Amino acid sequence: MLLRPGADDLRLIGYYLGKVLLGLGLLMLLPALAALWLGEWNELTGFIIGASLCTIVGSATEVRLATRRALTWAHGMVTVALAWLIGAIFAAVPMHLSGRYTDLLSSVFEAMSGLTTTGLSVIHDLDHTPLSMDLYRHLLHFAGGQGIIIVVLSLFAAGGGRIGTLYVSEARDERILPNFIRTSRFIYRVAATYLVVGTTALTIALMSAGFTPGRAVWHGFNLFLAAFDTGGFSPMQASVIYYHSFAVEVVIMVLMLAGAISFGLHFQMWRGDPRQVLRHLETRTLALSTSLLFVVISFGLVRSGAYDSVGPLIRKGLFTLISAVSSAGYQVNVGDTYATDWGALAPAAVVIAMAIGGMASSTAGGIKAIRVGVTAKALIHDVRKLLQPEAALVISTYDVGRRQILRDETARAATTVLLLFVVNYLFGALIGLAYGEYDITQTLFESVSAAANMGLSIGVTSPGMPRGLMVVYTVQMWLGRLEFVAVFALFGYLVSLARGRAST
Amino acid sequence: MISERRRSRGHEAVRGILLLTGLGLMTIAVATVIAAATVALMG
Repeated sequence: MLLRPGADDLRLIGYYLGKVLLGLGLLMLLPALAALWLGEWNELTGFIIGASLCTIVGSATEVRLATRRALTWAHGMVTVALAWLIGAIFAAVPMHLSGRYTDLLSSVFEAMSGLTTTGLSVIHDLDHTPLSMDLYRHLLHFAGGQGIIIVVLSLFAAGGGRIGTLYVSEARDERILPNFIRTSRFIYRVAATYLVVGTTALTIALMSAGFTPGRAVWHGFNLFLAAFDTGGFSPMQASVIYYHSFAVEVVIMVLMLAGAISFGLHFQMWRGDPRQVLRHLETRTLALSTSLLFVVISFGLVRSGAYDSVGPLIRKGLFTLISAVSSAGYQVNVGDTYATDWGALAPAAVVIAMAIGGMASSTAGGIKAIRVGVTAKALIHDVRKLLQPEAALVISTYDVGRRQILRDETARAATTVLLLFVVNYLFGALIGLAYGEYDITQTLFESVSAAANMGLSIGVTSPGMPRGLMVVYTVQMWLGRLEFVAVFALFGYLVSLARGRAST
Repeated sequence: MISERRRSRGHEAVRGILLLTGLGLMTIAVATVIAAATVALMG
């Protein structure tokens, strides 16, 4: 029997959604200041209107819906699912007002792409976009990557158990430190340190490529935000190929790897035992899958005649593979090169890398290495059981910072989410095919890219793409970022609202 | 007391940066070996 949520439940959800909007409003003030400084008046107006809307709605909920009731799991899930959806709509306001997007849907698509750290873009004339708008797009990556919920709660909440509900609902189920406030502070310390080091390294690399210091800092800062948060927006339409610099590509590759690593493993590298990083199931799964996929990509690229020496295989092949695994989506190729010059094997390997994605509890998207690793372990476990006498007790273990016994429910959970991702990938590909304008390589590539929050594009995503497909990709990005459960909880909640019985 | 904590945080940040850089360069080195082997075998 379904119980209908009461007014108190809705009040609680509304109260926390308001906090998210207040956070988003604060975020808009940064590009607003940049617009003021640079004299970009049109953008400034958009940011002020957007920030005002967020502040008015957020403050209204703060005043009208304030409550001391504790969040339950259901509240947390529903709040998070709605926060990403409503957040994308409010975040789209300055974009829409800038006049750089075809329609409101394009702006919502771009905002969702930014917040979910996907990086697919439908902006017009990116190369001449005002700098404040460019900053805003990259800041959305940062806010989304670090978890907008954590951003807001770190700022506004006093602490305590209910924050944890939101944190885990955001598909980050790893508690690094004893409480969530300390965990989010550690995450921000890691991000801030890499921000300084990464931006500096990129600035030096860009200056050595001929950029003036001012431009180098600006591009370095934006590139860092999108690389470390595995986003993929770029200040230039041509993405990373624009810079023609191996040094820039190497720094970005390291930053993308940093983004694909879970914060638990960052913690081990910073404070714990670095050997644990090598023993961890996710590290081993990613190392093995990435190595195998790079063998396939190298073989495919040499066989197709695309490249025949080590340099391009690293600069094009490895970069694209790391971009795919980390789900950053930075490109060193023109969009349709994958389809026209890369043959069939290398793009297929890139799609598989995109589908797998990076580590859980990182900013990367995709199925996640832990689920692939657990599913593979479960398969091996089943084969071992088959080969043993019936009465034999077969136990399999895996390392996730500590030794764990592989349990049926863990394997089932991993396999379920893995299958949901596959269904999500295929769903988008089929819808794309239905339009009759693209072939299966294009639609599968783009669908996986959207659903895995990746951002590599084979050319389907553009300002003029079919609107229905744009809606599908937006939903795929939302589902992929929240890894389904929170969205399903929201649908369950809506059904309960419509058909549930009032609690007595 | 505060400077002690700052120093310790500085040390762990340096350690994290060095390990991360090492991991990145190791990845590129392994990939270079794979790419060279592929080119040698198929070139």
